[in-house]
Amino acid sequence: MKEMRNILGWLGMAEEESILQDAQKHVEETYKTVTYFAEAVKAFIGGDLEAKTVAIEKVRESEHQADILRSKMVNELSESLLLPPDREDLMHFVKTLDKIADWTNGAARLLGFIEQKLPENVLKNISLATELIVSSVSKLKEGIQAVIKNDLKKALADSEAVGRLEHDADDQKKTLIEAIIHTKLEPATLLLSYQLAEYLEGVTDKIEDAADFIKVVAIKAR
Amino acid sequence: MYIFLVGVTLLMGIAVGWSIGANDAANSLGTAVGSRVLNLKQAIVLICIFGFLGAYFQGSHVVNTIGKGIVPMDQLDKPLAIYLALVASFAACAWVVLATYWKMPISTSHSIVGAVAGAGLAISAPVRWKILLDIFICWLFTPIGAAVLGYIFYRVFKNIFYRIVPRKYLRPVLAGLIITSGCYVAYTWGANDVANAVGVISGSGIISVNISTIIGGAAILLGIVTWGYKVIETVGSEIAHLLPIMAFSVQLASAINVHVYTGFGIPVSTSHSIVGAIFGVGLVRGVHVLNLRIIREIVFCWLATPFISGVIGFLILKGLMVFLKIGG
Repeated sequence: MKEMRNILGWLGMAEEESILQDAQKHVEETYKTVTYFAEAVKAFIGGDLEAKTVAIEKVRESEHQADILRSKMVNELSESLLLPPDREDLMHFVKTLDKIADWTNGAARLLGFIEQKLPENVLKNISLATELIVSSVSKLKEGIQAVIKNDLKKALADSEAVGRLEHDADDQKKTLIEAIIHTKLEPATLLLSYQLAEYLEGVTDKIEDAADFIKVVAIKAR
Repeated sequence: MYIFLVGVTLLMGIAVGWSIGANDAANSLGTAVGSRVLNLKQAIVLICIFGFLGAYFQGSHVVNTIGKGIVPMDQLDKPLAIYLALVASFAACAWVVLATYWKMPISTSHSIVGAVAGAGLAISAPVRWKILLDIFICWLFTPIGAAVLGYIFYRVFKNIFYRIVPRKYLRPVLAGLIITSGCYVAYTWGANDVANAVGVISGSGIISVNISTIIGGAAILLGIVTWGYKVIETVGSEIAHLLPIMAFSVQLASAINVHVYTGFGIPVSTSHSIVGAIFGVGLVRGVHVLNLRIIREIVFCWLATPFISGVIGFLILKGLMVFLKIGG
């Protein structure tokens, strides 16, 4: 965000700031989606199927709210006559944020289909993967707040932390898949568990994509 | 000491002119560059020519208002008038710099008017409140008038343009209209804004009105060629996303609006005129161009600027009077 006194430039910057503030709301909704998913995983591990179903429903509702926010941001970006300087990056960012909630919802749906009690080793790795997602999305949230407050150093540090967490999530996926294939599971559960592992890693991937945008904004603003 | 004061005052005026040229040049032909009707060099040449012509031919109206209308500087002791000119320019410039740092959309016109009044009060000069009130009312009507004109122009042009212009001439005609209206914006911008740089200098009697418009115009040119091109490039290539007919309507509405006030010698914000025109054009499309937060910020800056620059001008001149024992 360059400092600019020209009114057209200022309007562009103001639009960018407005989009980033909506993005903050969006990431908060996404954070809720991830938190509800973590609750669903916890309930699943604890064998509380009713709590799992409730949490999965909350994930779905939260994802819907995130969708509404996404539409609002896309409208703002496409309707504006004076657009932010980085409109293409912003549009990409909005879509990426939405994908985090989408993929989390996808993971929750898969979790809902798994009825067979999974072995301890698989459950432990699912739990670890979920923790990585929660940590990543927390860092992303902090990164967006840092960009809005113009604390570019922190924004960069947070994006880099998300990158490292994504790397950990890659390793975690490998471990989880190893655990799944070394366990005797029914074919349907095996398939669903494998897909869940893919989705869990996919969520951190999407979080990293969003963090990359924060990095771009922070570097451009330097 | 006298020569030094005159030199510093002139330099301060040139600095204000430079800042105007550097920051606001993009308002006139930024869209033309963005839509590739003109390249950057052509746009700069046109802005320089028309900005200077505006300053030279019609700049004197507003120069007289700022120099003699708000506070009758020509009736003050010359050294006192020079101090007033220096402090008012400095206060206006300081507030513009601070506001830019804080990313506030403020107007140099509003800043200089407040600064002149504040500095005038500091030396107990007769501030003409009636003229100040007229200026305030005009500030209120600047964006409103531009919005109404923008709305009417876009409504009319969007309906008749494609009917009366043969298809094969669409592009050249549109390009011609955008360039012409952009040059008109540059002309009215030069005519209205040159006074922000040199109005007080001319009022203090250091130089004549004609010479002041030439110096002010030259300072604005300097701003355009040394820095303004960067802003034009950013605005043109990255921000303004107006369709050609919209850009034409915005520019024409804004230029006519500012031209009317210039004719009456009222210093108005060319930026606010453009924002108003964009808002008016946006209304036709049913687009919420400016959200409430953005409007609130603009209105807040509009209200705060003259008071803050006035307070800065008042305090600095009061301080100088105490320390340098002037005006007593």
